[in-house]
Amino acid sequence: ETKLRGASLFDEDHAYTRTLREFERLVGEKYDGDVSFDMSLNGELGDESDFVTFLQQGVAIDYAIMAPSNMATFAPSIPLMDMPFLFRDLEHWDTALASGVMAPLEAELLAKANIRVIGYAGGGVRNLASAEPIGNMDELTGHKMRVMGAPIQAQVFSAIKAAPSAIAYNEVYNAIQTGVIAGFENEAASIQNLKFYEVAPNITLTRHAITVRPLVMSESSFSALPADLQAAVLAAGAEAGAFGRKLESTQDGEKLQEMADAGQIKVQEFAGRDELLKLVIPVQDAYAAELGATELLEAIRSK
Amino acid sequence: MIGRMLDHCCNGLRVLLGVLIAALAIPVGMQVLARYTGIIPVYLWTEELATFIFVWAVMIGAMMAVWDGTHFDVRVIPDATSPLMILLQDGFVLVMITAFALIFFWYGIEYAKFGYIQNSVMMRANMLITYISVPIAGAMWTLFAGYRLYEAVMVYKNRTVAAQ
Amino acid sequence: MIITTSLACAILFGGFIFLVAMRVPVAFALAIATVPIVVLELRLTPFIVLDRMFQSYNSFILLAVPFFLLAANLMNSGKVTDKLIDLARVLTGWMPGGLGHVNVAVSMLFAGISGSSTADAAGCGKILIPAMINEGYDRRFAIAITACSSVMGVIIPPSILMIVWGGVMQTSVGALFLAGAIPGIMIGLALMATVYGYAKVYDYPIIGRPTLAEIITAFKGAFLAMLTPILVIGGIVGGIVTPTESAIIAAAYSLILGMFVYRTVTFKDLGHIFYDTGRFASISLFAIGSASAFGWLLAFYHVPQLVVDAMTSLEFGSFGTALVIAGLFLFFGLFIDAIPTIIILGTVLLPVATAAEIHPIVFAIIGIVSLAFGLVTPPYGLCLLISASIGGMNVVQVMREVVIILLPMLLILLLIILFPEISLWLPKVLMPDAVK
Ligand code: NA
Ligand code: NA
Repeated sequence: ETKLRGASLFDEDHAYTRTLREFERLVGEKYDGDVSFDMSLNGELGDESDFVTFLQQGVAIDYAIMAPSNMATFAPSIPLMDMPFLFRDLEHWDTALASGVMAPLEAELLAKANIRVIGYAGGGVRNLASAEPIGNMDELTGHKMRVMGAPIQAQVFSAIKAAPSAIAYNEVYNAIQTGVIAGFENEAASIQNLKFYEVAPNITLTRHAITVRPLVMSESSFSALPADLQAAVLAAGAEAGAFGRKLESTQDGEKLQEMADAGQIKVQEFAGRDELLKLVIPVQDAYAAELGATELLEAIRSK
Repeated sequence: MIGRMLDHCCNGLRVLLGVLIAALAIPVGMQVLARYTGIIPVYLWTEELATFIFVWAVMIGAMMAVWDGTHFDVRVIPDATSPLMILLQDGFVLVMITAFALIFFWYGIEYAKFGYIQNSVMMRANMLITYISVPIAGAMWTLFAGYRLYEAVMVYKNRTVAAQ
Repeated sequence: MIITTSLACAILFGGFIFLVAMRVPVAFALAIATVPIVVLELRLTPFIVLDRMFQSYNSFILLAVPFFLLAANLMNSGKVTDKLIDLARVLTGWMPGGLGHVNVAVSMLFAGISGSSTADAAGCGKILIPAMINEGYDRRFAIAITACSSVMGVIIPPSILMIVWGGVMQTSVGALFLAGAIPGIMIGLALMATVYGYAKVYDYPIIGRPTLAEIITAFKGAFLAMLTPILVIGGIVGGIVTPTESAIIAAAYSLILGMFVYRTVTFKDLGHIFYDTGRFASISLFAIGSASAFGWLLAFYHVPQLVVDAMTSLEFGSFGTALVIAGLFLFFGLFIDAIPTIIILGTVLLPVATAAEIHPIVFAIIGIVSLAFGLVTPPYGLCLLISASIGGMNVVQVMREVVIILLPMLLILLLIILFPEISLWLPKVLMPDAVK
């Protein structure tokens, strides 16, 4: 009997955990032999960057879902996968992910980090959340906001005239509440789960990023599996990813609406989003050129 | 002779530890200044640099404490009185530390290699610069605890010789 | 082989207890106990122990530890502690058992500046234990009251334990700071009542009533030092710094006071102060690494989930659960340092507390106060070890006095459990958003 172990940062209800459960179900369905699963939830085994370590080494766990940026120490091009303003809209995002356009990044990840991408979940739309409303270029200029700790994030938000700042995620709530920063950017689920709306109730629909969350497996574990189980894992990964994308992109809009209906957030459009795009494109181009990924960026844009 | 060499070595570590603690204030202080005063731009690498220094400070302090015997222990069983019991009591602790030190050293080499294939996100620094502290700590512990073990045996020998 | 949960627990806890009893340092005992598991378990290798230890130092939150220690060490070497003792003397010296009250009062003042209890035990103990013995106080009482009063260091804000707790458990550190203030002061008052009782029984002397001039001098002398809590807590509540960064404000301010205002710290002293800080901080922090590896293995075998399931099925209710939580923290505190206990036990009990509807801030204060008591309980109580060595006695010799002094403090812990508002009131008033 084969026993596979997984890890999730969240509880059973979260879209990523449900995606992983769907993956487990599908593998069991597609594979004729005996296979069982054991998943650690709620970040008991660490955060996503710890999962990367475990997967790379082939210890402790076999599969997980994570943000691409966590794998950047091994493969610097990976954060390109869901950098801000990469996808025009949900349709573009879904087409791109299903098209296999990310294959060069997958190959890099396999070679440098010993981690195999078996599917793509994600689908959270990231918007600005702030203590005061940010509705136009003037209000955005100099806006002190927390960004994720990757250079491209800081570069993009600097390009659109905001003042990005490095603050650990678990200090964000306190930092906004006390005014160390004025806001941050995230998807609806996080804003709802961690009650960020209490300190940052103003949501600006910049829709600057649509998250890509690869469903990954340790190559050490994968290569040790029998061939028919490998085939089942690959098929289940792709299907579970599609399941997860649909689930999260549907939930995202619903969650935003729920918070708006409950009066927890005030939502507004950003006046002149096209202007932001103009500012960002040169930064994206330079970033891709630095990584030698210009062709890839063009390929994603043209999907 | 070896004892004096290790003593010098440990003194070097002491100076280094003091310098690291002082240096720690720089990136953290810059971070506060940058965000609050706007005098200097907000550097996203300050946090990364601070943790680099911090890791080294902890590892160096942990190395020295083995030489000085200042890692905290718990005294529930009474102090040994006879020379043999003293040797067994001190010796057991030192043997356990040396054994763990060897594990830390051996797997630490693997761990350093694991650091070597990574680059930090903000500064793009090769992660070997911090991961290498693991096998170094293992090696220093082995030397320190190993020598203390040798000393304990010598003290025992001298005592039994003196008693005869 | 695949190891079962019960075998894993037996190896981990059995190995740890055996090694500690054999006097292997706690930090190494925790790490060595994990070795058989990672060697035997098919899914694990020793790599995981190294990684869990190493990665736990890779944490921005723990940076608060060396900075708060630095602040305390700067105050101790910069004679700022002397000024605090002068202030405590005019405030409480006129009561029977004067120096005993001064000992308690100065710990409260020190606690408001420093986040560390051990620095208080060392700094104030060095001056007050000999002074008390000279004035005819029982040596054992002098040691015990110094140790017991120093625990306020981590209860009265700022506090290293609260910063670590807030980071590990995602609780507002600002709210925790505020929540610790009243329980800390209550413990101080309980200690003073104990001193008063001792003074009546053993006829301990008063120091004498201070003159107005003395009072003014004392306040002037300590005034600048007493601004520190306002700076640190104000810095957090006012949005200048994150909790972790607040420690550097405390250190920077102490440095300025010592070097430029009181001029008692020279450049030459600084080297020593930095080294001492690094030495003590790294020993404590190193133990955090091995505790993290130990705790991670428990999680790998789903032990936390089993504990939570067992405790929720017992249905103790809020009060009963809170008692059990306090008991567990007190028990762990006998043997291990506070920060590793937060990592191993705190994270396991958080869902238990949530299920029993204990407010996360009240849960934190119960945990931190219980752990603070562990600083003075043998076999492993750092503050007691420090003050006993200053007083030149063995820990066992002062046990009886420690137990007597701890009893009223335990009563305060019980009050905190019974009346959550003791902790919640201040944060509710000052940071209503953080307590919802
Ligand atoms: Na304090
Ligand atoms: Na204790």
